Amino acid sequence: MDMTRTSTVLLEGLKDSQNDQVWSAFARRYGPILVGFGRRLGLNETDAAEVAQETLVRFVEEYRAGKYDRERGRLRSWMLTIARTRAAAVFRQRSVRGEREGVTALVNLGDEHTLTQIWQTERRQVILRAALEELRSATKTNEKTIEAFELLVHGGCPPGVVAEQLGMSIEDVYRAKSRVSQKLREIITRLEAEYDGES
Amino acid sequence: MPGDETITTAHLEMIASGVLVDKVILERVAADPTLSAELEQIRRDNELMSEFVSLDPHTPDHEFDPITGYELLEEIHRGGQGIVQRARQRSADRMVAIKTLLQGAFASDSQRHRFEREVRLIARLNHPSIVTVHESGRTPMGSHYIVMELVDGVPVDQYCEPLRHAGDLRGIVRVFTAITEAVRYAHQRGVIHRDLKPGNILVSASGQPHILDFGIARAFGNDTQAEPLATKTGEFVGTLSFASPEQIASDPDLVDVRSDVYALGVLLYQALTGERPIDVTGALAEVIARIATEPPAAPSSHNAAIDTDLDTITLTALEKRVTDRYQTAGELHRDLENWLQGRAISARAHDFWYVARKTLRRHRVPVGIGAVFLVLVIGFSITTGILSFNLQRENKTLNGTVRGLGGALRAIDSETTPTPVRDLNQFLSQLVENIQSEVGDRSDVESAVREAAGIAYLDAPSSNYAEADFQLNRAYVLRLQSLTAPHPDLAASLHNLGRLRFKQRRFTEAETYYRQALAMREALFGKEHADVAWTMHHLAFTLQIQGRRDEALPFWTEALRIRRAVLNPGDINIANTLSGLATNHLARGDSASAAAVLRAALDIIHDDPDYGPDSLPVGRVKHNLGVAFDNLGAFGDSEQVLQDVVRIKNLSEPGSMQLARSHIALARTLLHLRRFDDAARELQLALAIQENLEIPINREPDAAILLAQIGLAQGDKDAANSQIDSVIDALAYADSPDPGSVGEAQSIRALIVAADGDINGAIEIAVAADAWFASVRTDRDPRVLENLKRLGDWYTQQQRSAEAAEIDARIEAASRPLAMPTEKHQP
Repeated sequence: MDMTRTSTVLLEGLKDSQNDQVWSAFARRYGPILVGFGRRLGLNETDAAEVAQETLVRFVEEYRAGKYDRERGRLRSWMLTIARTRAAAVFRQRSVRGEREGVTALVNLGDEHTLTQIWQTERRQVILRAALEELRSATKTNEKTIEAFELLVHGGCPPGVVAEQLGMSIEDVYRAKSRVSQKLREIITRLEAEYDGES
Repeated sequence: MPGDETITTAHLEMIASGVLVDKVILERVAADPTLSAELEQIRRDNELMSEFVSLDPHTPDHEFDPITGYELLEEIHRGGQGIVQRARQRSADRMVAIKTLLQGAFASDSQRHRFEREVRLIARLNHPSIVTVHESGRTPMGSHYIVMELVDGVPVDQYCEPLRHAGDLRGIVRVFTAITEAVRYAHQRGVIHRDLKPGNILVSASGQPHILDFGIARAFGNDTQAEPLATKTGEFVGTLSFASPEQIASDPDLVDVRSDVYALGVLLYQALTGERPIDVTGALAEVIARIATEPPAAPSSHNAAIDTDLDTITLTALEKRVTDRYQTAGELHRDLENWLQGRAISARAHDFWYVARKTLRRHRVPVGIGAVFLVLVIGFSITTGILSFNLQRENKTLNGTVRGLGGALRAIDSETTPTPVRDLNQFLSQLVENIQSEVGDRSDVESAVREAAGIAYLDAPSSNYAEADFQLNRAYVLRLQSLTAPHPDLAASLHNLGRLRFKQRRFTEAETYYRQALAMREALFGKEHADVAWTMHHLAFTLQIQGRRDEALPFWTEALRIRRAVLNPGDINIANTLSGLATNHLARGDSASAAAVLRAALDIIHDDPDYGPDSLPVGRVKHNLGVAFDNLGAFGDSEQVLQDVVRIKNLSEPGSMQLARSHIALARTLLHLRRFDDAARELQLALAIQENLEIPINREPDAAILLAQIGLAQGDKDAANSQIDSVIDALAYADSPDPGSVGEAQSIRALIVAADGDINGAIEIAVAADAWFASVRTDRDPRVLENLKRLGDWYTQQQRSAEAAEIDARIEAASRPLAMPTEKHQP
């Protein structure tokens, strides 16, 4: 995942880019948040993806047209506004067509506070996933150490079992846990900062 | 647990997870800063871990496409304009090709608009041999893209190579008939390719060609073409081989459908011979000079299997002068078809002996009786003697003959009779070729022959104005040298030059010639003379077509008066002038007078033994009568008359634009009668004729405009909208669209916009429509009036009362009975 540039830098790139690579980076960064956001509003997978796509396109177009005034609000609230409108349109279409499924939103689309919370949750999820991925692919952390951590987290195994399974001492398991947590925390802090460059 | 035991990480972990709750140990940890810190760290680690535990392991795996709805796959081609990629259309699950243009491809907004309009036009092309454009738009990053049908094929030159090696020329020509047919189809719809080259024509394994990038070159267009060639040498060399002389000349105004014909000629030449017609290697300046001047070697010099006809077809497409080339892709197409069928090709139609030989061969006539048959072929009972006689010896006979022919031609006024004079035309061109050498010392004979030939060129179904211009002027100059004005022959020359200029649509020059001819004839014959009325009739028509309706009227009435005075009451020429006068009444919005005059004309033609009730002039006169009835609101009468017109024209001039116009007029009446399906059927018939005649909708847009109107009347707003859009786009593309048509299209567009609830938008468009109308139609014209009435209603609706009052005043004035115009122009 291209997380090496802050959102501010990405936005700059959107402004006068000569190719569509910036788009990809931008879409990879915000697309998953938007999909998760849509799902939590009550959209099905397909609609959520569509709303995300439309939101990204609209955002970039408006941004390039100079409609985004940084002074007037955070990138998040602007993108959120677009996504909310698109999602509302889907719900409206649904109810016009009389489809029973997903006729109403799970949350009040006018409730700014709740929407922001959902957004932040989704954003955190995306960052956590990215951190895990980076830990696996981009750090020199020992394979067994990571495995121990994953068994603790996803396998839900008690430390003793993990130690036995991997042929480690229980102290090693605790050390692994500590080391990986430390590493992840570093990565997450950096990613947060990159996303925060969005303000 | 003992109080002095070492506290390990394991203990701390257990404390953090709430398993170990021993008070002593907890107190010891609390008392020890290091242990406390470690415990705190463990707790934070656990918190982070719990976040991961609750993390939805399912990573949303969506691709976010720069082009919504399409998954971009591998690159197919990267060129100067942009990138072509294979892509999957998600909704239809089909493979397509997407061309993304480089950013900054357009220097200006107007270029971008032109591109967008172009793409809309292309998207409406629907032909098996033209790559379908599905849609177009801009990526969020601002690049333009075009989504097209994905074609599996090889460039046409590669496809033809094995055919050539196998000696299968027919196979090659067959592919080119399909290609030329497709190009003809696009030209018909106002789209010129401008960059035909092998890479733009892919042929699939089944032999089906697919032409890519129609019209795209124009979009990047004129601005770059006007650049000096040297600045883009590197890029240009690739397509230089296919550029016509007029494209090389960097004059974008000269580039039209015939430039595509040239490129097709180059492609055909290359396919047949494996060589290029012009060597494009070497210094650019030399190459350009070669393209402009060097005639290509006959294809047969490279490939002996090529016959003379195929040579001629290829070289005709490659003529340097656009006027010498096939004038349309359709002509080239038909000749390729002719060649395949073994018929005579039109490119050699001027070659009398060629046509005769070819006809004889096709009909397998024994050569022995060929000489007699030839005479039948040309359709005139001239003895074989005339074709071969010695001009020097028999010039006296010739003079008489030619005068006779010229007289015969003059009698056939092409405005009322399309009698085929094509074969005589060919005969005369042969005669004229010999005339200079044979009768150089007899300017009276030469001028008579040239005059007759000029008229033949002018009135032949496939008229050749350049040739007519040359011959008529030559005749005139010869007469000026030998005669003194006023002289009947000089007057005739002036009159015919007027007719030529009229047909060339150079109306002010035509007017001057006619006025000179009229003055001379009046000086020679006085007022009461048939020839005076004749020229007057033409002058009236010339004034009228320039929109000078009121000036024209006195000439019409005077011509009519003279003809009635000097001719028999049943003379067809009286009917002709009556008919002209009626068009003047119609143009001034006086449909009632028009109807009366047309009835009088019809009476004469009906009784004429040469014409009769089902003759061509009856069809044309009745057409106007039907239109007049429609204008007067007598739709029942109008329908009856126009149905009859369609029947007559199907007999007298089937397949003509004249017939198409009657279908259109009938459709208009049916629309007024709210019989939409019947009206639509008439329009389809009209469009089919138009298509067949290769008359693009931007030249004759009435049928398309009416279709939109019918769509709207039937409540299909979207269909109406896209229909009217296509008309307006096509008109915008035309060099000088008919203002009346643009006005009509805009007027319908306003109606659609209003139906959408946008009244202010509708007002704006209706005002624009009114401005277009102003130059060519009066407020009495029903279409102008309809537009005005709607505009007035909308103003009222928007409470813009001052403007509404202005419109009302105009409507009121247009409804008042018509006074005769002042007589100050009375001739």
